[in-house]
Amino acid sequence: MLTLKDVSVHFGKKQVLKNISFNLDFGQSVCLLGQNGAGKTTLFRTILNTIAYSGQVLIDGQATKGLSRIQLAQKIAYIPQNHEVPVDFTVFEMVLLGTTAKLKTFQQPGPKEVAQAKAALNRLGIAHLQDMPFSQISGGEQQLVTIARSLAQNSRVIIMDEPCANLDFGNQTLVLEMIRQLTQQGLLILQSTHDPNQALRYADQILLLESGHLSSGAPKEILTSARLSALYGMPVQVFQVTVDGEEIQFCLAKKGGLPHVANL
Amino acid sequence: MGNTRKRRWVLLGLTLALGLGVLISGYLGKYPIAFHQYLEAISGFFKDTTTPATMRIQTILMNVRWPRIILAVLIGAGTSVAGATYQALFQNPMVSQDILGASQGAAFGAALGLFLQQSYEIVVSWSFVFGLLAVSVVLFLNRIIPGNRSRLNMILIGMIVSALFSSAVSFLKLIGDPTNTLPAITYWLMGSLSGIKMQDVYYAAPLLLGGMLPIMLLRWRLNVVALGNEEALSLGINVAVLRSILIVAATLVTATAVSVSGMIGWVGLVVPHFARLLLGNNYRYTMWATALGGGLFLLIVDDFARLLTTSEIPIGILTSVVGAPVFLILIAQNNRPTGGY
Repeated sequence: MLTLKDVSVHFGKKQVLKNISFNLDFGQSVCLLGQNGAGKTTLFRTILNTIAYSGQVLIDGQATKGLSRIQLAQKIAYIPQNHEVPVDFTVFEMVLLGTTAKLKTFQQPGPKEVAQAKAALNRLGIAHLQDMPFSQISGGEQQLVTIARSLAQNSRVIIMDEPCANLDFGNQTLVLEMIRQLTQQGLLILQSTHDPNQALRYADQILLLESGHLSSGAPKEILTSARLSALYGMPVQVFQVTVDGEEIQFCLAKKGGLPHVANL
Repeated sequence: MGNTRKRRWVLLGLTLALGLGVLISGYLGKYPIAFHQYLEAISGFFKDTTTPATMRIQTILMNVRWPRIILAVLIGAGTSVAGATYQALFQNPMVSQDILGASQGAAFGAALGLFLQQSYEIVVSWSFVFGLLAVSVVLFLNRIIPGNRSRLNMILIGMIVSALFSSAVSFLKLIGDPTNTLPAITYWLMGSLSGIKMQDVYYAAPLLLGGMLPIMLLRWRLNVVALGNEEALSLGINVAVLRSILIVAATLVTATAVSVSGMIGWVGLVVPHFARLLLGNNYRYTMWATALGGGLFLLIVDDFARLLTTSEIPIGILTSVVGAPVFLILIAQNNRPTGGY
């Protein structure tokens, strides 16, 4: 279980996160929503212990502040927003890097680590890509590779910063479906997203950041028309439809709903 | 996997080429030695009795050629490994000790030592201190200057710091004694391996090897650092500590090389690039190719430096002739959507 107790972060005099507390169980897909600048990345950095904060971050009751980088890496994996790759490794090398936390300082990865990396590639069904250069596969495949790296890292919590940014619709679905499968296998995956529809469709739990304050709950409770309208500052309506016997919710922004745009 | 086999062949080939290069370079020289005499002299080292003619050749080998060959290989390997380390640490394939100002800082420290006619130890330590200072200044400026920390930014800042240290060296030359310190500093700055004695090997070899050792041991972790700060942290690397260790090690190698042989430019930039072309970006293997290739490259260039003309050409001039066009190709490649790095 990932627990935050009373976490606050200040940048100078500005308080970016205000007394945030929540509990997240394993086996869940969690979406973090919030406007730009609401503190999503700051919240991730707090969980990863890369910035100063007050309060407590606990994994299975153990405070992360006291853990070394290596110990923490074995509990939490982090996947930054897909960025320009500074170094072009092959897909296999990229996944193998995930095993670093378990190596001794001067140790090179051996057969055990290689097997672990291959298992991770197989689990995501991308073993056929292993000799490709990372820069030459699609954005969706790159996300799957970084997820495989987190699996090779063997941590039960994976944090992803906007995994679907810059992906086309097909690749978005590929990544989101994969995340759902992995959470059903017992992982806790926390991702930030700008698309409330992705959250409505794929999240088991929602974290909503509004100017430093956090609310959490099931998608149906949190992502209501009223909350979404307030969050994005425009009329948003949530609809419910039944597709093949499954209740599905989605939201739309109202056309012409912004008076200052409509009056131009 | 096909990769594993290719790796094995490349590394084996480089090792053999280096061994052969060392053997042939010992044979080459201004003083003519017949090949059978050369072999006799080498096998003579393992025998108790030798003829006077063989002993004369052995003296030449021991005092003139081998010290130079050993240091050419070690400096070539060390400079290349240090260059690759800077490139990985700063996630920038276009930096090296010359561009980060480390070489110029080290050159200033060494020139100061020469100017004040200090002992070898002092020259090396000042060279090390100023080399480290130059890198720290570049990193500090890169951090505090607002704007995006692009690859270009660091190169420009490096140029500025290099220029400052170069003018400081010019100032030392200006006030240096034109009969001894000025020519000493000038010639040494051009970069040359001439006049190296066994004594120099005893001093420099442990420092060069000592600097390379931590880099070779930590080369897997260098891969992780090359991904960037946040990713490296979350993969379980203590980035700050690792970075400091590697910067100190790479700068120690740079400073030692500069104090022995002056500024031999471009090697640290070009050799790692070729190593990556051969074996890819995984430093686990590429660092070995860098070390072996760097040693081989400088050894060959040094053979040209001492044999091409009657009076010796400073090796720094030759490495520039090779390095400058390669750097141009590197820039052209880096502008393509999928760069080599």
